[in-house]
Amino acid sequence: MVPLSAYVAVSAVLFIIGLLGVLIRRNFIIVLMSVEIMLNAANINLVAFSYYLESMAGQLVALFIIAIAAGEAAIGLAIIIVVFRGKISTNVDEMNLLKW
Amino acid sequence: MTFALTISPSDLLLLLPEILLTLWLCLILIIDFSFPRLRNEQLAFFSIAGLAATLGCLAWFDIADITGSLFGNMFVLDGMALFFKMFIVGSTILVVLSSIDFIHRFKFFRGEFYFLVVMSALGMMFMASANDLLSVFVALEFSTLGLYVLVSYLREDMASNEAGVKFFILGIFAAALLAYGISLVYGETGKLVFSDMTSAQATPGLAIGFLLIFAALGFKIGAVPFHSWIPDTYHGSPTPVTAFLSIAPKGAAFAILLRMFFVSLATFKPVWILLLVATSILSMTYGNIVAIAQKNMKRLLAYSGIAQIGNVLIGLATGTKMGSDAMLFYLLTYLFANLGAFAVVIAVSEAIGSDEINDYSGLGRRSPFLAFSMLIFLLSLAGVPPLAGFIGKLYIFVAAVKEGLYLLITVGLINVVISMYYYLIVVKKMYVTEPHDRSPLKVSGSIKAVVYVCLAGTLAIGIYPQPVTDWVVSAIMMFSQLADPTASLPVPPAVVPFGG
Amino acid sequence: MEQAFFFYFAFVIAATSVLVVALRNPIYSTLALLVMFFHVAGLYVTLHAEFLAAVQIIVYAGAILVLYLFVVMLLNLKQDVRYHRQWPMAAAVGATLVIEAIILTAMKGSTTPAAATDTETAIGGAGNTEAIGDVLYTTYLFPFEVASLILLVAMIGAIVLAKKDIGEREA
Repeated sequence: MVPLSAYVAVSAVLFIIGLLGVLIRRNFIIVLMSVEIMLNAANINLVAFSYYLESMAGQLVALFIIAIAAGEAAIGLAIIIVVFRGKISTNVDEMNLLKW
Repeated sequence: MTFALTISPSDLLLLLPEILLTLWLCLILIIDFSFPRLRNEQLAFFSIAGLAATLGCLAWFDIADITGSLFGNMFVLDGMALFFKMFIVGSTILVVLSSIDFIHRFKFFRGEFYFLVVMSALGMMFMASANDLLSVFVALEFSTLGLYVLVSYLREDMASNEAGVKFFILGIFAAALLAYGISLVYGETGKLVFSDMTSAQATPGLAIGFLLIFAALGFKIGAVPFHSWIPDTYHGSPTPVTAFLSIAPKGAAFAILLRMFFVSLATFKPVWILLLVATSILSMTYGNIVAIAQKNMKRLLAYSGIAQIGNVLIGLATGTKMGSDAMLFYLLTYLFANLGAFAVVIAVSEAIGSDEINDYSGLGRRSPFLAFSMLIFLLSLAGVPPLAGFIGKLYIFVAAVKEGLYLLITVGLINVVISMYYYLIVVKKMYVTEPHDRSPLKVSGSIKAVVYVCLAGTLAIGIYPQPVTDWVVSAIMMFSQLADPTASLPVPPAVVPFGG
Repeated sequence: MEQAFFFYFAFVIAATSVLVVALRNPIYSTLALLVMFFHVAGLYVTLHAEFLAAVQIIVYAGAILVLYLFVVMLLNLKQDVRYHRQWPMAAAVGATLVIEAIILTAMKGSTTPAAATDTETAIGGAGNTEAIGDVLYTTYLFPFEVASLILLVAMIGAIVLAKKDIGEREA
């Protein structure tokens, strides 16, 4: 048997990598992918807890997170296409029209 | 395995406002698609009719005391949910009304604009009723997805694109934090429904989980460590969308915060009070100080909005019933003053094509009506008697005094003075500075209607607050009866028939 | 055996996620993400969440990742992509699929350990998919309905944003 803590550890590592990705990378698409990594970390956690707690709820939440991730990806990529048409680059830090 | 739907017609009654609005949304889509020659105003008024019907339905629920919970306590319709739903629908009506003039700036998909606004209002209504972590996540993402699109609606405009990108990145980042927080809380308690978590033990996992959820909701309300998207997004979005963003999602997020802190985390009150006090102080101070330097009206309102959220958080930080009453009251006064101010910004930007504060100079001569309304709204935001904002601030501070949060009150009062300063700069520009151009401004009927409604609200609540205070007090009372663990769990009967 | 699978999946997930974040070329990142999604699905299988593993592959790998790749290629983010270099990625994807097939059959064969059977009875007895369906359409009906609205918003939102200037819709 693999202990629950092993799954939680994998999930935590994944979450941290995703978090770093959002913070370090400046390419919009990579940032989007890093968020997907973070959502996957949450899903691993949920499924592992669902198995060890013997309750179905965790798997259901993971299912909804997957559905919502699909919606977010669709909207996010549409936004990229709009931005690209406007000839701004996909690099987040090159945007500085709105200075404060 | 047998399979039965567990919904009865009387349960569906509780969902009536949402069902009504969903059907209306489908109608909006179909009508927009079938009659491409339809004018914008007609579609806007059609959307408003649907929202008004929903508002009427909610008001009927409130008067007839129709409350209850559905789906194993996942969906709760109590006084507080009704209050926030009316708050959201009311602000959406005002936003749709004030967008009629603005919409000619969109080259395409004008009909879908109304669809998306109403759709995200529907998501916020679900947020107001969500009583478990899964519903919170789903409803929150639902309302935000529509907003992502609305913020970048001006497709050719670089500022709108950039606002859309920043809002989107921080939005999905917050969603990921929320998801991970939910997974940790679920792992520690094995539960998702707020009222089932009351006996949770304080473990590190639970603490991190709730902190992540709080951070995600903090992004939603724009409190200080999580505010970085606010100025750019407010600046770049189409102005009616900015107005919408500045009020409706915040109300919905506060509904969730109230349920989370007062129900699930009731036993950890000393801890989260410190957290909220810190957030509140940071929000007020940062918002007000940075607002002084702003040259753009939308940015000024963005920073002042951050500060106002800090004020609302004072109410939450008291952790008492009176504090939450004051929060609801304050949000209502903020709704009128804020939406009114944005309506004036829309009118001015339609007339002179600029949002810069310098271009407001001489507004008092060019359009006495707009300048006077702006004066009233800004003074209400600053908290000058006899306007609504004054009563709101008073109510919040009194609630804080009762809990002995003197540090918070001191900081709050200093901030009132700071905010007075930058609001008065705008007033000075409008009334004292000579205009470059003396031509009078034209204001359209729909904007006038919004401004009149907001003026009426600001003045009426300021002069005669009694009915509103009664309303918020009863709203929170019903909330605590239904959702307070000590009161009446397990689940109350699904529907309390009216009169009974 | 189970531990070996777990460590394999865990290691590949960690390694590929680092690659997603670290690689400079978005196409390589996307492919690394694809490998990661497959291995996450493998992890779900070790946790007896077969339905979720299938959904993970169909939705993430099948739909979301294709969308990503499509946009990355459409926008032509990097010109210096050399296609012949991608065969290790393809090999990794293939290997994962094979391993998942093995693990699925292996678990069917060796009538699962005691703990697992307990869970299965607790969860619904008749198998993961049926158990999920049973809960999804009763207890979780409300979020399910809301999720359908989310997909509607996403669809319309994506069209509104990304569609080229359609014919003429003078309003």
